[in-house]
Amino acid sequence: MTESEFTSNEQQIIEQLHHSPAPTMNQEAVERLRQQLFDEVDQVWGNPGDQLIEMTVQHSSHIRWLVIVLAVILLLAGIVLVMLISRPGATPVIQATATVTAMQTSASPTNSPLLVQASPTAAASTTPPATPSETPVASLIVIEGPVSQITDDYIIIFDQLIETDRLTDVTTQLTPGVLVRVEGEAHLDEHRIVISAVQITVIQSSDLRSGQPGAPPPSDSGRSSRSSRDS
Amino acid sequence: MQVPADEKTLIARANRGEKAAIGQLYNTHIQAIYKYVRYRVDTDSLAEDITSEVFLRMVRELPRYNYTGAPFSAWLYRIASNCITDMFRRQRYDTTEELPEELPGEHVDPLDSVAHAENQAQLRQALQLLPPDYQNVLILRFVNDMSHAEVAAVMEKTEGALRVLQHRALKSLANALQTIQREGGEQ
Repeated sequence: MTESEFTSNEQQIIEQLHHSPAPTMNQEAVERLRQQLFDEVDQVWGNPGDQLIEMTVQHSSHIRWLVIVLAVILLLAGIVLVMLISRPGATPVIQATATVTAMQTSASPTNSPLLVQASPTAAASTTPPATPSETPVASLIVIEGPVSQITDDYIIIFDQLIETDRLTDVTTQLTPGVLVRVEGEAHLDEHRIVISAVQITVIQSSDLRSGQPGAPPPSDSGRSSRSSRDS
Repeated sequence: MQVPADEKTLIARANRGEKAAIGQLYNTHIQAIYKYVRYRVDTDSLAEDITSEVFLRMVRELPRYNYTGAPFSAWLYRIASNCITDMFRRQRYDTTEELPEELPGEHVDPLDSVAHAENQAQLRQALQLLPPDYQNVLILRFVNDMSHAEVAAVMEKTEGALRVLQHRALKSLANALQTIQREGGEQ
């Protein structure tokens, strides 16, 4: 449909519309609106200055949080440390172990009746006492080996002095060369470790050492001092 | 439909929030939008308020605006039309009860001024009696001098549908004008 197809009445209206006044927005209102528009642009996209300030504020906020978190961690660590130090269960511990291994070999060409491999090792580790006034507690130590010397109150195994004054009834039965197992408490006497025997068990009698490979194994009755005492 | 070659670039820059590009779009379309709005509402101040709202919405919606090849003005006229509808809804504006105030006229011959003013007033009164779609097509086509294709883009109609709408709108306007003139003659 073209405008020429309009009726004369319609054509007249169209002419009237074409020539109707063209209202314009006054310049002051145009400028005011332009400023409003640019303010809105800053709000929607943000201007670079605002972004920089916002970024700085955000960063300082992050740093502040970081400092707070670190302070809390340090505080907790301090509390844990204080609790550990002041814990009442912190008692001194002395751990001492001594191992003596005795092995009997079967008959060998050299006819060595008994080969005793003894490797006495003693390790003592002490945890420093929490308070200096506390006295160290002796720990149990086990030593196995042949008795090299016997006195009234002591026996010596691998040059280790062992007090036997509490077990005189057993020691009277010992002779040099007897393989024994000693359980006792170790303690320091000046610069030397002394063991106070609590229990002495005869492992092997001395006749094995004298070169009789076919000797019978030690009987149960002779194994412990308690048994010895009973007998 | 011809779209200025640099409009796409201008829109892309405006899309990124470049004030210069947004300012240029504003300068290009402000008076045309104001004219359209002024014909749809009764007062200058209301027309200014709505025009402000149109361009503020433009800025807010620009980040989401996708260039489809349609003229930018089509999008602005749609925003304007929506703003006017919103305004009528908000204020429960009844266009049939209020007589529009006189539009600022172009310079006319003083001898014809009374007759011309009377004709223009009746024309505007008759125009505002029409449904919004009829008003839109008549104002955009004959006051804002837009092509069928441009108006079709604004109103989201095909050109054929727009031509039919335009024909009906003209008939309705003619009837409304006759009614007003008849009532005026009786008084």
